Amino acid sequence: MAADALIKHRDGIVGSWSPPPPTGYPAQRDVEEPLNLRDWDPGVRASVIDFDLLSHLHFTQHSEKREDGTLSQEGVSVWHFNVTPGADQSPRTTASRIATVIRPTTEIFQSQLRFLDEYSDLREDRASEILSQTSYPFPFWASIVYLHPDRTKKTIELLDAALRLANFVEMRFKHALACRRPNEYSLQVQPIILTPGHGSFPSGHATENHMIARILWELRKAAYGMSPVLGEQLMRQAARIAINRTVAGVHFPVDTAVGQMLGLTLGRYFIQRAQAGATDFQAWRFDGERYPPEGDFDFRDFCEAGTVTEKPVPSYIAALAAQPAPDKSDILEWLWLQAVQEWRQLP
Amino acid sequence: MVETRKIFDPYLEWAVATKFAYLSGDWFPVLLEVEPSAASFVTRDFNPDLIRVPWIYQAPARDSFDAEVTFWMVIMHRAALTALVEGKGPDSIDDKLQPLLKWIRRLELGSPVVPHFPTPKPLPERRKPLATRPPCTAIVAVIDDGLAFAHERFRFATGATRFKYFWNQDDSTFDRAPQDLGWGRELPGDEINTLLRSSTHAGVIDEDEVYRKAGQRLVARRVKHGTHVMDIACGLDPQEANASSPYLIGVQLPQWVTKETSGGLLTPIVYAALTYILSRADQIAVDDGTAALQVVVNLSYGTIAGPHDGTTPLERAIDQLIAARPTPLRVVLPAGNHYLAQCHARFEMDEAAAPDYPVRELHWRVQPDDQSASFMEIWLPESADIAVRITPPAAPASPWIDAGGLWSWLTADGHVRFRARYMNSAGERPWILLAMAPTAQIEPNPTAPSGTWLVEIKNKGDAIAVDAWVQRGDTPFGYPLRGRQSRFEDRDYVRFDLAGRPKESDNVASPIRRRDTINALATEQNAIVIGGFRRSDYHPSRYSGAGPALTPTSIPLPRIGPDAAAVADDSAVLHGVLAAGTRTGSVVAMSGTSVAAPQVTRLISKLMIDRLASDRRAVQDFAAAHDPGPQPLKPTLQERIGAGRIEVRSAKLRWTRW
Repeated sequence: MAADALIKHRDGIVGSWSPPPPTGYPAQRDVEEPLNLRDWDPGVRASVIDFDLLSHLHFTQHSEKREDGTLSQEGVSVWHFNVTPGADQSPRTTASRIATVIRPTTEIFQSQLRFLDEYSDLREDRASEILSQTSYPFPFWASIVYLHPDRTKKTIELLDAALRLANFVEMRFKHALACRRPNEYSLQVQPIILTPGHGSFPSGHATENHMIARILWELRKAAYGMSPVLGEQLMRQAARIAINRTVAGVHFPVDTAVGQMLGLTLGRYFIQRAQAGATDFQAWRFDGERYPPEGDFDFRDFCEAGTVTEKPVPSYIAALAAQPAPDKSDILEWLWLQAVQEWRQLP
Repeated sequence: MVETRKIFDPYLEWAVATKFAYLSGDWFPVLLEVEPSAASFVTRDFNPDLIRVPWIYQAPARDSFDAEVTFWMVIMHRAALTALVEGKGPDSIDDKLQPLLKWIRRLELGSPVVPHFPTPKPLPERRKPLATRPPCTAIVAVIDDGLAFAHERFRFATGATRFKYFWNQDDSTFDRAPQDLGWGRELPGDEINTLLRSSTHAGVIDEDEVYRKAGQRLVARRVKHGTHVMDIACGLDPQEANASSPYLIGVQLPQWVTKETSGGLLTPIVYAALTYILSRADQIAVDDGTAALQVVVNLSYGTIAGPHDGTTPLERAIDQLIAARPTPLRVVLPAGNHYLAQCHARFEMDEAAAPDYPVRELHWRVQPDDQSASFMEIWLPESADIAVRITPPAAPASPWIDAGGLWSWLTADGHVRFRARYMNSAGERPWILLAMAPTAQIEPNPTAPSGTWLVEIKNKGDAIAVDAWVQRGDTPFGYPLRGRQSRFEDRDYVRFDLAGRPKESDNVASPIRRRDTINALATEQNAIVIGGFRRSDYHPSRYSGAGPALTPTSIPLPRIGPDAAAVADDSAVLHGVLAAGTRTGSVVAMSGTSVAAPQVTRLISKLMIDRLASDRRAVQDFAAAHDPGPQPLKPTLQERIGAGRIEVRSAKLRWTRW
């Protein structure tokens, strides 16, 4: 209909064809110019950003030599490639480790099963939360900081990019570590939602939401400075969303603990990729074999909520030697700066 | 046949007859009534494999108990209970029980606990407050389920707790059981303060962390009965809390007790809770260097069936404790929520002679998928001589069961699925307990058929009035569905009026009565009993239990009904009243006389601090003076709301819904 109408309209008004004059039209765009991102539609921007983020990542499989000299079973590491052009313009890379994860033993998962029974007591209380959180729990973040699809659309776009990165990384970890879900260990877990079709460890919800929490923290900090209360609320929210998955019957507490480590780490990685200035990067190793079999998830074990900083207190998380900082992505930086603008007070 | 043997709780007999199939655990608290008094009861002869006596009831601690008190809580092994009830156990057990038997007058079973029994070590002697300096406040104690002790409403503005003591009877970590009682976990106020301080981040207390560090899993849910009740009883905005605000003591009952709503197993541990509160109250006075403090205890629990004449062991014990304490002790109980539950029947029977004995029928409706045992109690006047006959659904009738008689209906493989016991002891009111196995069990335990059970009652003696109550057996708030409430059915009972509203008055054609549905734990003399009314129109809350209790009129304050009523619902559609959820800042609505009672607890604490009278009569006088209706109230209204309605308008109950 519209096309037909437009055909007839043009025929009605166009007149005879004349070559366009040299002025009055936009100039050719610059090559590889991040500012061009402004004009691409968000779906295109998402592809560009995802390409830039994912093309710098690599996974390896290896065992780890612990500080006490013991050797772990094989774990998985995610690495960042810093890229510089070689003499022949081909990329030359150096690697920085982002995180290493070693999975828990079967016995540890079995010991963790009792939490699935105990937390099931809360199902009636948490059912509405659990169901609303099966998809991206945007409303739970929008209710703490003021997110709105019109006012903070670049912030939301930034969070979406972060979520996609978290999802790619966590799924790669889940695939590599291939840990069974609680309902594969016991027929009496009986989750109240469909158990997702991927591995249990690490928890994607824990990863994604801790990453979101950290990014929101940094955005607000850039605009208004430190707010310990905000840190508390963000970390409590992330923990509650993650714990609800244990209530639902689809995750062990240890899944959540590693998800928290991964989410906070990816959050920091993501922010460093969006900003210049960092000199090195703190990588962590989550040693599932050292996780206390009877250990519940306590978000304060690894996180100072008021400042949103990691603290390597738990014996199952080790600080790895400082890695070279990941290089800045001009593409991500553009979106980051756009998002920060949304939080700045008007002059 | 009149029995002369010791009076064992027929609920205990049922537990033994069913081999404790519906209870788990080996050690059971029991409430003992001893003769001649608790103070004379000698403990050293008891065998620790069978009976443990908490230190607090042993000399010299118990020297501080007054001679009038005849109750004790002890913890007994099921082997001992079995031997006691069956009258004959293995000789090894019988010999060990002999020293106990001569002391027992009554024995009532409680829900199982996991006792710690720490190695006896020298305990500090329980000190009585001797100073004369008057205390600056009073103590509010709450015995309940789900007490969020870290909640802001129980803190000072400094962040310090107002709790002096908290005892979680449900904690079996053995970490810090109160030494003088031997199970659960005690958290004194300074320990709570340490937890609060170490869980403060960015100036905000992480209450989840407090409970996690304390190992307390009581209040994970948003709404808990105990927190709501406690906020109403003694919650304060921290800015308003000061040195004269009441001191707080909390006792968390085992969740098992709350889940097992019959309340038949509640009494021993409630008695232990009262003992605990009184001992800690003395300790507080000693620590403060003041005279003893006045104490008001809120016990928002209720059951349906019982003699309703103030004689059950817990009621007697509460009366004794109140009478024995020189400094005022008040115990506030709810009137119960079973006015419309069809759980009470009453009828009169003419005097009769053979062979024309009159027979009346009761129909007891038991629901399918009821995973808790069901009970009915039939209470008779002392002179009564009747017989009962039971006809289960689709099964032959029992024989007529006479005084002192017993009939058990067994499964094909010989397990007890139903038991009728006609208690007839000299000097006591005769009564009959009908006990029924659950109608559904996941475990391979015996079950009873659901449906309508026929209970026939034949009068063989003087003209009498017969009262029957179906015991509580529903699922309490906030627990997985387990029990389903059984009830009486009768074709003449009218549930709804012509406009379709629940009918709130009795019609004489039906034996099912709304009257005398008052909480069966709340018919004693000295406790203060509170009904519920609607704030919007001052009408009694539909469920609020009614008197009269069967107190002899010779008693100065017969129990016509509750002593007073407080707001239990904001209106006919806005059920409940608002008070705290389990986390600071949350507000939730809960209804029931359970939330009315603590309003009066709060009032009493204020009267105490102001050094005014706070006993039953004082509460009645206060209610009569403040009731908005014309005085005196009609007797039918008094049966439901007592002397009057107390509306706590501004007394720091912050929230109303319009």
